[in-house]
Amino acid sequence: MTSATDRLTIRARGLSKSFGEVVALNDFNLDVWEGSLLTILGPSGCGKTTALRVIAGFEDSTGTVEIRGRTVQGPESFVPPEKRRVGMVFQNYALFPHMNVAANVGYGLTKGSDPRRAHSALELVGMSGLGSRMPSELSGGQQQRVALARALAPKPDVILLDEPFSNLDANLRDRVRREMQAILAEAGTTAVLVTHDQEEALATSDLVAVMYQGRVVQVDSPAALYTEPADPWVAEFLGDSDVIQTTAHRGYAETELGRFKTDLKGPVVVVIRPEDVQISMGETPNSVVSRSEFFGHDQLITVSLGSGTHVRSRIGPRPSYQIGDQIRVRAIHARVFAART
Amino acid sequence: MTAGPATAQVETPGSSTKMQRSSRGWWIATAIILIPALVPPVSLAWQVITKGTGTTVPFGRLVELFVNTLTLSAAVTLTSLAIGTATAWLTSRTAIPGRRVWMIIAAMPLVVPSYMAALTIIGATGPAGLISTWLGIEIPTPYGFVGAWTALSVFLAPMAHLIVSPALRLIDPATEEAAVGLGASKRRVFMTITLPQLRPALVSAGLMIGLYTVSDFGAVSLLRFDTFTRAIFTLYEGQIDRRPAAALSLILMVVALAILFVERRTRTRADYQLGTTKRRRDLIRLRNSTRYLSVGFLSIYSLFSLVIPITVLAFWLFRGLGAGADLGTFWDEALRSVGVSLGAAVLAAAASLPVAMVTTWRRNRASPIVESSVWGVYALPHITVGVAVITFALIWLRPMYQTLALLILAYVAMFMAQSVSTVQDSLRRSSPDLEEASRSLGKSALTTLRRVTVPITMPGLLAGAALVSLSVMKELPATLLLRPNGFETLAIRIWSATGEGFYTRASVASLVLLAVSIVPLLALTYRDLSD
Repeated sequence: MTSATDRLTIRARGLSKSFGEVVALNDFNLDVWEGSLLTILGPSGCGKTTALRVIAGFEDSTGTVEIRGRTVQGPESFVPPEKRRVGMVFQNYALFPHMNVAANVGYGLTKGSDPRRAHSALELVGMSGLGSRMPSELSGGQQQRVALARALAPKPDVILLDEPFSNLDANLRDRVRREMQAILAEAGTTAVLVTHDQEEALATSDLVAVMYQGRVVQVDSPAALYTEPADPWVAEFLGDSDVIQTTAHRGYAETELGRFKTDLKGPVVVVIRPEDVQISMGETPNSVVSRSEFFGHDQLITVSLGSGTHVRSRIGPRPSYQIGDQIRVRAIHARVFAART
Repeated sequence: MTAGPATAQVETPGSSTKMQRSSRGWWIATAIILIPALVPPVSLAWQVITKGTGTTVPFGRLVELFVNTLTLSAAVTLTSLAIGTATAWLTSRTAIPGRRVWMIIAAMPLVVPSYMAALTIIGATGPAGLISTWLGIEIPTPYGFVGAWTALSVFLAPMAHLIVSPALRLIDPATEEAAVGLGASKRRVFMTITLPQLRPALVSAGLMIGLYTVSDFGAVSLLRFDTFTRAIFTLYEGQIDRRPAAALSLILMVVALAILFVERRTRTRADYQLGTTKRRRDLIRLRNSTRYLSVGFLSIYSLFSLVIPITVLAFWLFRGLGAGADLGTFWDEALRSVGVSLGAAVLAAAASLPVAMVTTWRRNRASPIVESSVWGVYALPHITVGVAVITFALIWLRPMYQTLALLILAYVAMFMAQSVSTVQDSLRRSSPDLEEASRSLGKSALTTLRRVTVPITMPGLLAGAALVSLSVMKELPATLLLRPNGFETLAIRIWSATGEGFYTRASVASLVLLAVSIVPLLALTYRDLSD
């Protein structure tokens, strides 16, 4: 075992699983480093919850999962969920309705362990006075904190959170998210969070793993994912982008918005973000304004190029454009990908 | 009877991963539990195919039984539906005085078993009956069709009342208001808007009542109307050759399953519910004359369904006490009734947990099969189950023949559907995440079962046990056939004492049976109130 893998909390390789016709995981690979908060982001149905459940041991699959160097799922071994030292926070929290808060949080502690751990876990989430309440007497945000405390109390190697904020009101969500981040950081626990909410993923995490059709397509920091997407699908999934199909030769991909350097040859797709599209009035027009949306701090202008392709440009609040205005647009930055055959 | 989820530590890759690991134990337990459920149809079919039908019942007799059974079933269904829909409409839609009290009174006769209904008819009429003694008018006892029809209609009407009432409340008031706004009269609104929306409830109630009538043994045997169940019992008692009884049982079983099949089909197709309006509707204020008529109707119905039966039972009790007649033993009978019903209830509740589990939290493609077999056995006429289980025991399980264990197993198979549905209800209110949360917190499958799953399903387990114990206490035909020699329960005592004319003894046993039934009934009502 190399020293690098010593610091890996989760190492998943080649996980594949299907439910009948539906492929949930298709050669899923993931590394989670100790102490980090990683978010798995993907559209609904991409298999992200299945990935979490395989890691926790609620589903089996082909491939291997190691937790802190111990193989918990592999061709010849399966460690049941209760022996994996994995904490789980469920989407609907799954608090035991017949036990009070203290009993819920203390549930995972073994007989020999320090009974004060339940109390300190409740303290950590700021719920120390509410141990005798029943789950039904708590608000959604409080239930969520109890679920987190319950998962943290046995001091697991990693905490898995399945869409933890989706059951909360929009105005509560931001606050709870920040609180949870602080709690996880204070506890120093490695955590994997699953969400379909981009904003949540980008704002919360050290690293984001973007998942599509059962596999991880890119793992990067939020900023790198946005500026350096690994493929056109990631670019389109994260933020706004427009796609132009063209061919590349002699080191350039030629488009109506300008030419972009590339090592590729033959058919390519050029992905352009609206904020990289600039408008200049004076020069020879190459497009017509077909739509304009005003948001206050910025506006989104959709133009129709000579070829009929539509491209969006995000610019400041001034000047204003009318539908039908003839303008010249060009892109200052674009990413070129090989066209999918 | 329960089994914890399997905890396989090692598994080779490439085996089926479709079934979740934690489901396997529950499915194995369910498969074992369902074996007794399949005994009745399989053993009857086996017997008839391999041994033949014996001395065949003449074709003319078969036709007669068919006609009698179906005529009675149709007549009872129509009458009960009419009474039950009327009581449902009056108590949930109109502002009659004492509406809520009437609503409960109209449901109460359902606790009276059919043989007790027959007893009250027999005890009220005839030369020595209540009516002749008190009023001096002698009404001949209506043996045959009229008696069976009256007894069953009066005591099955609550079934229609209980199914139609919630359906009436669920109809969106806006649909009726829209019709009024378009100028429709009250009568037209009822006929063209309300009644069509009630159709699914009426069909479902009608089929349940029809199925019950086809299966009934107590009323038709005491009131001497020749239907399939009575003929099966006569054949069984009177002949050493049991093949004709088995053959008739198989036919009746097919009829019952056909009715069940029709009921299931209509249930899925007939969903008229568009949206649920939580808005309260105003109760209809009837004109004075109509109001008196309505209260009069409800009073007459409860006179026949509650007042007369209780009076008849009390009349025979006091007459017997006064004349120093032998009340018969009833203490031992009561203990036996309570004992077998408790035993069957506990077993049925325990067996329901795996069955409910694989049809809710661990549902897969096989779940509908599990549900249909549980409900299929529930729909089988009890006399046919009795004949089938005896056949089975005589061929394959000789040592079990006429044992208490076999009787209790038969009860569990017959009534398990009731506890399965209450446990399913409990599980549906909760979520399988709870088990996974427990597992991920380091607890084994068995600990999870003990500390999470069972406590969460406890309300359903208790309600199911209460329902099953009520049913077992009232059950007659299967008990009659399967009981060990000399094992008398309250139901058996009522039936045999009525048949032999010992109305005092039958009344005492009936009153004790009603008294004993109150405990599980209260448990169920308490649950509904605290919900």
